[in-house]
Amino acid sequence: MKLERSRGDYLRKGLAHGILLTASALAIIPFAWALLASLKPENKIFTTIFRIIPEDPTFANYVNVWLQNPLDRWILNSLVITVGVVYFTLLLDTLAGYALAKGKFRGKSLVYTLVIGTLVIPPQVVLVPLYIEMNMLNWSNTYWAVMVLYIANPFGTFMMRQFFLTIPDSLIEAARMDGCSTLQTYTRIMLPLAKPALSSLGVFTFIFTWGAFLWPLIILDDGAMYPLQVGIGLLTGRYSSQWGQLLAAAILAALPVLAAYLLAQRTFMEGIALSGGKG
Amino acid sequence: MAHLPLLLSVALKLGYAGENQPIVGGALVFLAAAAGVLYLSFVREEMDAGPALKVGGFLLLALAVLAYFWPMRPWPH
Amino acid sequence: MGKLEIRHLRKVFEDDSRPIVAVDDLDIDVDDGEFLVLVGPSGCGKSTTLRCVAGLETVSEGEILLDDEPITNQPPTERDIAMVFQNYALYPHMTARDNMAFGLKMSTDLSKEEIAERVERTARMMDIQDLLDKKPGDLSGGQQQRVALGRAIVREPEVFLMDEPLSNLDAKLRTTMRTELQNLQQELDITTIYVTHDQTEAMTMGDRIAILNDGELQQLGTPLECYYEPANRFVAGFIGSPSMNFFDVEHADGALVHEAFRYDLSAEIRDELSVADGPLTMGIRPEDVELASPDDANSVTVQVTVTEPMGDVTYAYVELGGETCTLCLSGERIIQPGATVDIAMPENRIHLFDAETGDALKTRSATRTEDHGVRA
Repeated sequence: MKLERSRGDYLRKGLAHGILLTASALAIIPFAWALLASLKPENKIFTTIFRIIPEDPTFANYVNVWLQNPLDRWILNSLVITVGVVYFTLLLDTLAGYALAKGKFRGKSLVYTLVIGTLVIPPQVVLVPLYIEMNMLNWSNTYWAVMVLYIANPFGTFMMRQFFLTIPDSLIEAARMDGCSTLQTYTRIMLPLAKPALSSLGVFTFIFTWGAFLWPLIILDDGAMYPLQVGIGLLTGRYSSQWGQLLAAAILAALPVLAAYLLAQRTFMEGIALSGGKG
Repeated sequence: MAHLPLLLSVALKLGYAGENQPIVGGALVFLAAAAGVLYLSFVREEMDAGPALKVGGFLLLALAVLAYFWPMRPWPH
Repeated sequence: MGKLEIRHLRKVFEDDSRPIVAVDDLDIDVDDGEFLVLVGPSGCGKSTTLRCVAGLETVSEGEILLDDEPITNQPPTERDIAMVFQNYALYPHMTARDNMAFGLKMSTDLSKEEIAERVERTARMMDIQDLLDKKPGDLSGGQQQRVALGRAIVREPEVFLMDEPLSNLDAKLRTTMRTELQNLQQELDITTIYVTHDQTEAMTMGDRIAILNDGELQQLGTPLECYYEPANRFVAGFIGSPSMNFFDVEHADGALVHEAFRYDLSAEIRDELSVADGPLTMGIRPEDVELASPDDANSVTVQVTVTEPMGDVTYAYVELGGETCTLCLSGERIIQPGATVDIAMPENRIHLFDAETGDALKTRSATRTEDHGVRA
């Protein structure tokens, strides 16, 4: 009896592990393959496509893609956009979230509904009007045009609001009794308390913005302004056969995200828990 | 007053860093972020900032400098 | 000096379209160094009153004066008032030391050394020196309570406001802290307004207590005044544990007629009670009901339904004309449920209230009568 039950346990556990392993493999194998293939010389990528481990690994692709393309500039562009988006997102989303969670003003629920409402609009729908709008502002080929779309992030506002709701009102009242203005309460009490939420929202936003492709592709047409993802994406068009370089560049582009994941794994998980499972 | 449209067009062009221009907009972004992070990590002791934040602030400052003095090279290079 | 006057205070909350009156025409004077307890059931407006005094709520009408200076429209910091919150409201990201120093840092221009010195002094007084470098999360409820008190004391305010500060503590700690708070208040001699829903706390701690119900002041007086001479039926029922027994009676021919008994009034009381015949509410505290013999005047024979032996006393519940009446009997006397007893309600101990308004018409006198020790 006992034996049977434990056998059933094993079966269930085995099944669960099988599913998890398969899912992990699906995610990891392409990445590993890209990494290994990027170490093969350009002319051997397709001839040795079934030989997973490269015979004599070489960094030639990495050197070539760096030398033949303005990767340094693209990385800098990506950094400008990402840092700007993360910084202003944290600033504005905490302020908005604080106001929506603890503020008392007319039309608060309407504003909140509107913020949440924008979450359901698919971003592709607004691309064309936004493009026209940015052109009218004379903002095409600027960092602002790329950043402004991502900075006003309703998900972050929602997440920060949920966080601030968990902070008891009496803390704010105690701060008022202690002589804090609203802004001082925000910087001295609320922001320090929001550190876990801030770091997970920061990591979310960083990963999302670093990977942004479609909008920068549309609004930028100057090669000097491309972020890394767009630059890499256009490599296929220009040098249609240079798969080795493309893979090398893709691996390079993935490194910061990977680092962010590893560094902030714990906060990331907490953040997912915090926002109720939505990532 | 006649300079106003000119100033405005400069402001609107700040983020634009086409060929061989130093990336003023980028430098400004980094500078703003650095100021914010440094404020939180050194002035606001209530924040109780960890080493990551403190180092990050200086890193951002370095990036601002790097962006401003971005080496000009013929485009495309 | 910390003489606080609340004049015609009215607070209305605008909830959608329907205004809710939380406090209505409240007048309270608190003398310098007095410990005043605001007590009442939840939703009676006691916390709102406190928050108006603190400056956390705006006042709809009326005035609040501190040492004859109007503070009604001043921001909380400029009122020289400190508050202790029910959940302590310590800042979780700061150490106890920083928590205590924060108010001084934000609202005074004391130097860092002076602030540190004052925090240290207060911590010594509260015996919390060892806790100063810990964060609230690492402190027990009682320790957090001390730090929260310390945070209020360190500011050396004119008035302390305390919003149910003991309600998050366990019963044993609450009793200890109660005594400690009283000692502390006497030692510092700072005017204190203390909000609680617990009548025991109110009775034991307050110099005077103000009983509120539905946003209106019911009675303001010393604990014993409120106990012996309740101004109305609400106060009579709220103060004292177990609460007073009430009977709906008809006043006719110099007697009170109830379904289960007839209570003849003496000539004195009839004179005192200059009201026409009609319905009245009669009240008597459980501890004032006496056991009697069947042939005593005004005695009633009742059957005990439930007993609750507490050790020193035994609470017995009896049915009296469909209403439950509580008796408080000596703990040495053993009474089984189902037993029949004769009870009498001494005339000098009964209270009479107007049946409609609830206002007291006759109360027992505050000077305790000498036959007090003879409890059946």
